[in-house]
Amino acid sequence: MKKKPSAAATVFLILMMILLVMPFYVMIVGSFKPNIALSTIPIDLSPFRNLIIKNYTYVLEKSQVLLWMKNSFTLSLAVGAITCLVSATAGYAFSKIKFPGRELIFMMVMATMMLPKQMLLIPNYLVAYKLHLQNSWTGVVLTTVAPAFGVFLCRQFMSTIPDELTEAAEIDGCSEVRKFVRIIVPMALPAVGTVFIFSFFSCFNDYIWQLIMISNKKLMTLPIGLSTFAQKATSTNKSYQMAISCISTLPLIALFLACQRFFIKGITTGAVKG
Amino acid sequence: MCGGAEDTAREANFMHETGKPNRRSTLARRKAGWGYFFLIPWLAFFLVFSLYPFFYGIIVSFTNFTLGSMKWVGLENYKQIFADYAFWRSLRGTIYYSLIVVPLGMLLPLLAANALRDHGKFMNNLVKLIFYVPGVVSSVALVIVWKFILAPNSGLLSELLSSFGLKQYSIFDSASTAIPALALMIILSGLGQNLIIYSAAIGGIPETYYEAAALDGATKGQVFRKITVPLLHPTMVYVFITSTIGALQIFVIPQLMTNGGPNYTTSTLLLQVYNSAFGNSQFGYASALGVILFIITAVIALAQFRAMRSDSIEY
Repeated sequence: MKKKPSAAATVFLILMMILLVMPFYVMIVGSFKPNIALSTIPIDLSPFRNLIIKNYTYVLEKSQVLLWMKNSFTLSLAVGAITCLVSATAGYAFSKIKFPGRELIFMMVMATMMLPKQMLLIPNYLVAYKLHLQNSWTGVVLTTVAPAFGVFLCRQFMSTIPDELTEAAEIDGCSEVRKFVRIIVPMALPAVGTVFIFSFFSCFNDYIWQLIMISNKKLMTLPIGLSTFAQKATSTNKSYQMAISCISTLPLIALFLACQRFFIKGITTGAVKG
Repeated sequence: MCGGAEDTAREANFMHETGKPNRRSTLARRKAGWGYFFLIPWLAFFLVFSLYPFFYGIIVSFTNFTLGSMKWVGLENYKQIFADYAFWRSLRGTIYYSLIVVPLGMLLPLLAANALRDHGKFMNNLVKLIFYVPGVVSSVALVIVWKFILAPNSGLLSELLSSFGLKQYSIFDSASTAIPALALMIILSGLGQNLIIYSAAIGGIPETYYEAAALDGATKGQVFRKITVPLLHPTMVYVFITSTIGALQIFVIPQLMTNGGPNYTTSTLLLQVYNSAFGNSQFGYASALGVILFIITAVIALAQFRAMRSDSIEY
């Protein structure tokens, strides 16, 4: 059957896309404009004239944006790796090993998945404070890791791996750890990859934990650095603000484009049956 | 493993399920040990960063806590919260945000997913991509842009308004315009996820239903209301639950745009938790507020789960 989209549907989609793209247009074009073009009315956002590159050179020179970026990447890689380790091991236990209390413990995973971590903002900070973890990588990494979703995803995926495979390995005298490393993890790589990408991105854009855990300038991450930069220069130079926003968002968008399919898989697991 | 009849029954059940001979009972026991072994990393995180803080937070909420000393004050923090203007304002703000963010955050992606049903692959990919991108970039960067767009007197919006001959005014001066504006920013960052969920669910509806409807001459509106929406009901409940829980945690955008001001009109509960702890160093008060926020979230989540449980559709 041939489908014909209705005009109303197409118009709706196009309007929504314009609304969503508009801030990015302003950000990108604005970053190539002199400040005067953005601060006098009528505001000049034409992409064809009056474009300069100076905003970028200024921002790269005068702010620590590259350091913040490096910090954010390091932090997100660490959080992603730890989340994968925790999720894969727990997912394996929940899907392939029978032990007393399994269902009960899994319910706790579900509970932590539904109830957001921010509920524990203050006590978690106090725990980190007691362990002398504020202003340290260990502290931010440990408070940011939220493995419940990953555990759930890995469990769902690993339970589709046929038991015959692990049983055959068992008969050949394969130990549990070996079985996990050599059979389960390679087969569950799509799920583990999804968990990694998700935790990487959510850590990269997380704001609240980094806000309370980091005050040391050397450890500042992109969200924290950006907001301090914006507060400092709010009233003075809009072009610099647009340029620094561009520098910090475009790599993420590129990365997202590269691993889009993982997102779709991650989001639909658990939400859609079958 | 704790012994007893129950245990034996469970093991027997296990034997029955796996069809293994009886002498494997010690093996099953050893395997169970491996189960706990693989749970160690998760358990460590759960105990140190979820369970312990959970109870610790409850204890702190009954104390006058500063970083260094801790004095039991009973219900004092709670009394103070319920007498506090800022708390009621933040609660009201949280409800206002939710009333805008949840319905629109559900409806717009649903309409988009439905509109995409008739479009080709190119449009599908493009729309999903564009809907999702605001969600993968830092909210802080988007806030910087929005501040420029919405700035009173010199922003793009005020220029647009004045070109229509409307008078200059700042949308962040009153809650009746500030909350919808902030809510819109929040909605725009979260559309992609719900769109992908709806699209996948719509893709799961058998095409025969739509073919039958087309044969009967149903209009697009009728098809949407009589087929798509009823069959998406479980998915919509799921989205409703996750969006509501998410809306109770609204923090970043109000914090960066208005910091809850003026006079707490745009504040949220989580923002109030943050400000009372890290602005005023009232950790006991902040913890009590956290406990209240937890109770509200848990009650809503449980009620919604109840509603979802008996709600499943077989094709």
